[in-house]
Amino acid sequence: MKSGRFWAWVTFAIGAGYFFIPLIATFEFSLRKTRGIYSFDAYRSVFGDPHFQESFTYSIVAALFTIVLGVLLVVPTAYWIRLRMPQLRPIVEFITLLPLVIPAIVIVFGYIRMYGSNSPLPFLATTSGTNVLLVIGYATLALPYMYRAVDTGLRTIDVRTLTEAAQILGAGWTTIIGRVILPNVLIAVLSGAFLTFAIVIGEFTMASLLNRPAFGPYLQNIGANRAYEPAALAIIAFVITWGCMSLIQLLSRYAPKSSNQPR
Amino acid sequence: MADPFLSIQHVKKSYGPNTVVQDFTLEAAPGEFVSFLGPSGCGKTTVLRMVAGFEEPTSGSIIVGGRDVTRLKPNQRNVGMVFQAYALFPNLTVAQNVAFGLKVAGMPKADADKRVAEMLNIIRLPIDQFGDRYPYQLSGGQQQRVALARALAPSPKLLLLDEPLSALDAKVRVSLREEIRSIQQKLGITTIFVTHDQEEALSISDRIAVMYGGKAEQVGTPFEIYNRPTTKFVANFVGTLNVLEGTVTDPSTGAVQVGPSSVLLKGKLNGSKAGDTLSLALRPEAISLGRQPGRDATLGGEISEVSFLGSVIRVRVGVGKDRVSLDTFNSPASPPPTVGDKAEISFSPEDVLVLH
Repeated sequence: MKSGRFWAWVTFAIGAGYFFIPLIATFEFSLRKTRGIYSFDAYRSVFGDPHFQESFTYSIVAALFTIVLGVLLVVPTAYWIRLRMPQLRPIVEFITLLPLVIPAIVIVFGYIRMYGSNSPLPFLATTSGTNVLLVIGYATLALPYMYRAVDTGLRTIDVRTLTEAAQILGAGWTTIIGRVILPNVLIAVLSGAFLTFAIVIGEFTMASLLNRPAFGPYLQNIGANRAYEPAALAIIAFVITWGCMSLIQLLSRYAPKSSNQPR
Repeated sequence: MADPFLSIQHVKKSYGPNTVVQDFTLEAAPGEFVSFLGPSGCGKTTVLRMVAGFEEPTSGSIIVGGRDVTRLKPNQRNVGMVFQAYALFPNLTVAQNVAFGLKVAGMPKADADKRVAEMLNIIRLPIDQFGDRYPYQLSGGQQQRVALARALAPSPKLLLLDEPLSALDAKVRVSLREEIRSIQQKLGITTIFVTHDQEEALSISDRIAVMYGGKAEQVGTPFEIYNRPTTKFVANFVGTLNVLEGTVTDPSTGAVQVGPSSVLLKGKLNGSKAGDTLSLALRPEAISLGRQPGRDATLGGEISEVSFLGSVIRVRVGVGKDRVSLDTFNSPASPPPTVGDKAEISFSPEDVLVLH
């Protein structure tokens, strides 16, 4: 074996060890709830906890609404920027990157000040209003990922020509976006959706400060009071995230093949 | 012309201080096939896009079938268009692509299916073999035929073709352009075809608008455009042209000095005075090597280049400081001329285009 190849494998093994050893240790620890034997008792305990089911369901529903809001916001925006206002692209990209730069805690404090019960838009005055605000906040946090996923998808098709082809055939904007653009960037949208899902499932700051019963605060609460269950929950969250990533990979194989560029 | 079906009146298009189309006027009769021919940047695609509704004219009007469509959106114009880049929807099958416009128009499914099958038959891609294929499973030529069927399916009043053949290889281009022309004639649809390929334009058009610098330099039949160009640009752009510099020596007899020889071009000098310099243009096929009956004007020169092309021999003859290109048929009985030989070329004064 050449020495370059050997060192490449050594680097890979160190990197893999760095990621997998803590994971294996966490998994091993999560199986030790019953003294002396390995068992899935911690997992049973987690799945049997009604708070887990409630918080997990709450977060899944919130994630679905966030995905819908993200798609409605990002797809037309990214499409319009590509089609009509490419000069605004750097500005929009900068705006979509802001949630990575501004901490979630700053955003949520801004929300509390802006949308308190005395404000003109009192989202926080009711539970449903707070839920709506949380979804809006989640959509903001997922914006960098959703925008980039959709924009990358749009880059693979000839947006302008497809739009004009649909227009000349009599289609209006709703038909163009719904039947031409969206189906052709569906895989990219799904990628963004799964990333959004993963973010929402593990999000703590916003849900906690807005006092909503989401999965993130539940994770924190369990972590503070139990020994083995947090490890089990960490593995569960990891499996969900990896499941989402695998789905992105799987779905990307079924992306429509573009043939709009002359061969 | 009888009532025009398409009327483009004094259309102008500017982007800020940059005017790309200036005072363009054209009328097309029902069922006519008109080509916009010109080099890149001459404004031909911009005019087509204004007719389609993708660009709004800065001034002027566009009338289709008696209706002013200048300010209408593309989806309100009932115009079909085929794009250079095919523009088939990658997520839809061939049949679904062709049915797209019909579905948008709200045609009942049974009627739409019938129409799709009919259109696919016209373009010789039967629905049972090709209907379920996706665009990426077709060749470039097949994709462009599907694009044509899709454009024609909703029975548009006008068909616009934006360089539909330029992405295809040479052989497919020729067969597809013949197919387009035949379908157009069969359906009798008024068609505007944008191309920068003169052979394409000459071979399939009823009329050609040669464009340059955002204006129509000349509008006429392919025969007129080729044989009677009215401007120097049209003469140079369309076909191969030999241009000889000449000096008027005697306007009353039409004598013009070309290099060491003199030719008589009576009635062609258009008021030129003695000493004026003229550009005399001749198509290669209007020139013969040696004296030929009916070709009375002769010029002496020296053979500077001989290219054997099989059935044809291309000969270049130096006349004064100019070079004249002409083609002769290969004959096994007589060998091609040799470079450096003295030669005489003959032509009919009638065939000379005097470019002022």
